[in-house]
Amino acid sequence: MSVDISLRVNGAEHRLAVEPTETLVNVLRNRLGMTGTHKDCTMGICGACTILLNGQPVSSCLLLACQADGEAIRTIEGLERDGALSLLQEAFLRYGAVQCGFCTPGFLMIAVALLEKNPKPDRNEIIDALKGNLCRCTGYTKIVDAIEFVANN
Amino acid sequence: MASDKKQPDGQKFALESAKQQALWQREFQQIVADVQGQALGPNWTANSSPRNIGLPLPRNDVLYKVRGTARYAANISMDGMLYGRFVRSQEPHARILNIDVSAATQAPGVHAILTADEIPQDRLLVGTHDNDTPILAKDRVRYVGEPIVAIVAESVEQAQQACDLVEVEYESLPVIFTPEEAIIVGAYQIDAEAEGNIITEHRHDVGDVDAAFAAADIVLENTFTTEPIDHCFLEAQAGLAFVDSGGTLNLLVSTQYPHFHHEQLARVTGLPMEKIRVIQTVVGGAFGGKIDDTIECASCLLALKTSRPVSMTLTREEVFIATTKRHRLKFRQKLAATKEGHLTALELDILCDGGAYRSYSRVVAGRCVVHAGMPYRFPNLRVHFMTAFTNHVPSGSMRSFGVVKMAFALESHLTELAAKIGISPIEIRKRNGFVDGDVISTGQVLQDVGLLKTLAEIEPIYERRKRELAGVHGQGQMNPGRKRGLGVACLGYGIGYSGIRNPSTARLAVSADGFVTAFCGTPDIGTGSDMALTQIAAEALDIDLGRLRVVSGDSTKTDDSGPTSASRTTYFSGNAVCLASEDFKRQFCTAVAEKTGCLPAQVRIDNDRVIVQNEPLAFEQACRLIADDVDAIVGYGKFDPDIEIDISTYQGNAYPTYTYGTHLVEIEVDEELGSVDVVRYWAAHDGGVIVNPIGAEGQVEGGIVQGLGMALWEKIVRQEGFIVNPHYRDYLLPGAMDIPGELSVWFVETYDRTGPFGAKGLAEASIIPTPGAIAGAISNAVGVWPRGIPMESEKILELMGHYSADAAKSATVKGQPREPR
Amino acid sequence: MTACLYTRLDTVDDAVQCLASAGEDGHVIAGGVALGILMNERLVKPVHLLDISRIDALKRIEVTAEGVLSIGALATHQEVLTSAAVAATCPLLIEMSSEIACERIRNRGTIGGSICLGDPQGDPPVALLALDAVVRAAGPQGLRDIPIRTFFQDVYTTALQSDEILQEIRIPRIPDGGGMAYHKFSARRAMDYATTVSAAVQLACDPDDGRIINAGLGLGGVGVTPVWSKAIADGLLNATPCPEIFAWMRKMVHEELSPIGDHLYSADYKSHVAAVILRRATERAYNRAVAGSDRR
Repeated sequence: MSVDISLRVNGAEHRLAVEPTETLVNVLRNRLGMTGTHKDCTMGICGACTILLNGQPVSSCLLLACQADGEAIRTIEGLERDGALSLLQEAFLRYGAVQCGFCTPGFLMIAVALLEKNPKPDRNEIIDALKGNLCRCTGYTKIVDAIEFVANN
Repeated sequence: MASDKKQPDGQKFALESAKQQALWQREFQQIVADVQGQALGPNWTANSSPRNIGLPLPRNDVLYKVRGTARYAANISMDGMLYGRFVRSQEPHARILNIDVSAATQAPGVHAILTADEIPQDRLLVGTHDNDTPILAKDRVRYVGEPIVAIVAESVEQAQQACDLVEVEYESLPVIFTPEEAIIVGAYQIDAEAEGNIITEHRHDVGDVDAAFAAADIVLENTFTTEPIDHCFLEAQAGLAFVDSGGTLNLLVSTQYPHFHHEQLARVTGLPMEKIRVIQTVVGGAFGGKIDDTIECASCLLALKTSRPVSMTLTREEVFIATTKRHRLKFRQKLAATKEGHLTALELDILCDGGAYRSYSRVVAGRCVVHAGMPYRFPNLRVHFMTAFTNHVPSGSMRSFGVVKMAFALESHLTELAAKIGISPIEIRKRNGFVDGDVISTGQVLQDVGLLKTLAEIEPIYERRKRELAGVHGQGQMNPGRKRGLGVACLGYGIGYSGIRNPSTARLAVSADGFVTAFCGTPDIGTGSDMALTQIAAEALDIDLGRLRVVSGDSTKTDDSGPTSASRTTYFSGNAVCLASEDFKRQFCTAVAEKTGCLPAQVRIDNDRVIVQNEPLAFEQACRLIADDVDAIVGYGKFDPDIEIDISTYQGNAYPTYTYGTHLVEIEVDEELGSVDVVRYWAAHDGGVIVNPIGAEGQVEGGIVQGLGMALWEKIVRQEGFIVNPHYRDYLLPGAMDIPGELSVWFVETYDRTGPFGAKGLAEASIIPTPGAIAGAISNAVGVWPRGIPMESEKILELMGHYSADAAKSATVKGQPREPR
Repeated sequence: MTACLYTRLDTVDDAVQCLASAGEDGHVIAGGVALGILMNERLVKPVHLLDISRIDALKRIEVTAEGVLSIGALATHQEVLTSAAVAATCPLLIEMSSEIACERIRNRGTIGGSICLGDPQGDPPVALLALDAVVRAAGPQGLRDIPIRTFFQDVYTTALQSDEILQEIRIPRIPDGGGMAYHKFSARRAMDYATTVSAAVQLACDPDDGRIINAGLGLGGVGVTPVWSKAIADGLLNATPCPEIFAWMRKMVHEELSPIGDHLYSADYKSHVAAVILRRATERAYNRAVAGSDRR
């Protein structure tokens, strides 16, 4: 039985029919072609699939698409403004917060949510916010540096 | 909507039009100009020379990675694409009596089913160094998780459901789970070619070890153990295979070595080399784990069989269960020294679990043998290194190829020795560390050794923190039950393959509008090596960085330059780029000279201009001038240093150069629980001249944190051949909260005479000292020496004697062995 | 592909009815954290998903006139963590919630879901055991109150019947002068699912002589269910923290608990850790009680 749902992704409305067991990450990647949200552990642990659901970070690998019916979803594809990088994206670039980049979408979305809630987090608050996202390349330091730069600007 | 449904072009980023490409180039040029203008680097000014080396430039690939448009293999889709999945062995060692695919054939959405029976025997086996690993198991499985059947269907779910319907009938064979059992006379021979189950055995003997031990003032001897580790790159192995309209088999794949797959595919498919193209996609981390065949051959065979594009992505569980691991090691180390703290002898007897196939076992062994005792002078040295087959997933290459495990033992003993004779852990290393002119155990003479400079950088910090901690402990300022400790460890690491030639090549081409492309076989696996090569090329050509683009990791467009591994890309490919630049400049200046009617010697490139008889032209102006001839200009460079070790004597030049470093760590131990917090960390490295400080720092920081995970928590746990923790949930990686609050990285000033603009390599090396440094710090804090990694809280507490585990503990393991899916 | 039915429910009554008619096939889904993992691991293949996540009535967090803190089963961990009502009445739940995984999990995971799962390593059950909470379930026969201390019955098995839906968690009024603390041990500081041992302690003491006059405690990761020990709690009554009482507690932990060794820690080590962190939580709770303030 498929379910008709509507998703507002980065402001654009998408109407589609999904299977009840389809996860949001699969719908974003396979149905909407939005592959910026990555998929790895599918157990809510790595954080690569983090998106914002009504402004709050959630794991899109554990969220059924039909449960997100009618809700506002934000992904990495929605971070640019008029083709220009957001300050956060630029900070990730300049501070070397990205190496292989596979975890990057999740870290960016977590950082967006943090800074919207708390525009001036201190270093410990930043680290605490990142605690559920895994990165194997950078050792985290430069990711924290990048977010701290945005917090201070 | 999905924008790249048409045939993918191998472009690593979603650049749909030339216009977008131009925008990207401009955006990057702007950033370069910004950085150059801001002169963010401590030593860089607008007029300084060199202009590109040492500049803290951001990476151009990151422009896409932060936008979510980087094309990782699993992000690419095509019309009519099918999805593949494997049926995997659920037995550690068994004969396959029958494979019943009848139900799977009928399953919805299934297009094709591939078993080993369809692959001719002479095409079935693949492998990097030995073709010993079947693409799909035939007749026998050697480990849990070995692929047996591959199925493609319209969706991943359908392919998986069909896999679930395959019935494999097994007859169990004797199982071997430790190398000790494997080498017993009469043990079941796992590999037909390997008598005694030995994958590789090496002996290296220098000086008179026995006499040195007899004469020694101090002898330390212990047995050390390490556990298997997973690479845990966040992007699982993934690829997309398709046959294009010209009949060429294309494979877009996340790999460290596209040319390896190209060559294997030619043999496995029977297609001529020119009818195959392997293109590396954006790689989501590798660390040595994307250098074997996993999905490559199977997905290509299925694409040929179905005439449809076939996409395969491993699940995280499959990555844990069925792809290579860092070797599990058990070894005895015996070290001799004088009472003045001079090292006199080292003896190592190492036994390694190689798993069910060879993979990189021989390479790991060879590197460990050459690195025995590094980076210290041991006049007498004896190493016996043996790796045996077992019924575990194959052990393969991982960051540092085993050297980190040797360093754990060696650095532990060094620190212990220092304590015994009453000198500081820095001093013992200063007394014995390599300096210019030292001869290593293979007879090679070292030059441009920066080890003592890194020690000098760390020493004052060590002395300061030692004083401060003594005060803190003495005045009772620590929380009760908590103790701090400091640990030091060093590293020396050879750049490139061990003892065999491994050339790298580069080609440089230019377009009429003034853009230069560097073609290089070694792919960027996420480390930023393309950016380093861009900077090296810009410096060598003396043109603006924004004019340069690197094309790497495309088996058709680039020559085989070996894999991106062994910390070799900056050094080997950077040198190749330098050589290609010289060739390019010669051709370019000749072409300009011909057009302008002067002599080639009267033309030179200077600061992004072309000087013709003292008249400057803008670079693109000169390119337009020779527009008709630009296609003919191809600068070629091959870097092939004279590296050769005679394996029977272990004598010769092992590596063209070596990188060095010293780490200092401060930890805090909870004396009641045995748990360790890493509080502060300092690392000083000699990587030669640093091409890109942001990138280099990132490599070092990442390596330290990987080393920290390996030191404290990470281990693959097996039970009867099944991995019991094949998930991040149970396999513990360091997270953001686990990193030291202070983490400082320095690069000492050194210049490597053989490197591109003085650069060495350093990517892997930073993992090497971490476990040894942490062990030393634990000993410094609470007075016990853990001899195995990970140094888990329970083990530390047991060593401290505060608690004793029941002997029966190993009998209770949570849950049942997991079956692979 | 097996077709799966999906029904979104708006009221508790509808949910109970739908669950009754779906019978064995019905799978209640709230935040989907636990069920999502099980589905992705292909350990559960739901036939009929009953989505209760939009029943607003189950999201309320309020303090009743009698001083009972009532938390709707669908309150997310993040909502509990940031609730003013919880902060004012029961800071233990704040301290506990801050230890749950990470924000993106807390944003979907619900307190009710955590209890229904009955994970021996879950955080909320441990705190609620210490607080002597009551679980209110809605079923075909109406509402049923179940003391949390009898709720966790066996491995991932609770007292909730298959035709019942968890409605709310009720935490009795905490007497003034109380102190509470939550302590969690894990291998890493990053979020850990697999390797945690946790302890929650709630104490009240006599304002005059400092004797403990009321004690509740819960332990996690030390058995097949979250554990409540009446014997240890009772033993604390009329005592004041001192080396002797802690030595007795350590002995009791080793006798009373049967942790299960796993791939990281032996059973003995888990007992050892449980004893240490129970003592630390007790000390901290007592200090807070004595200080007269439960704020951290």
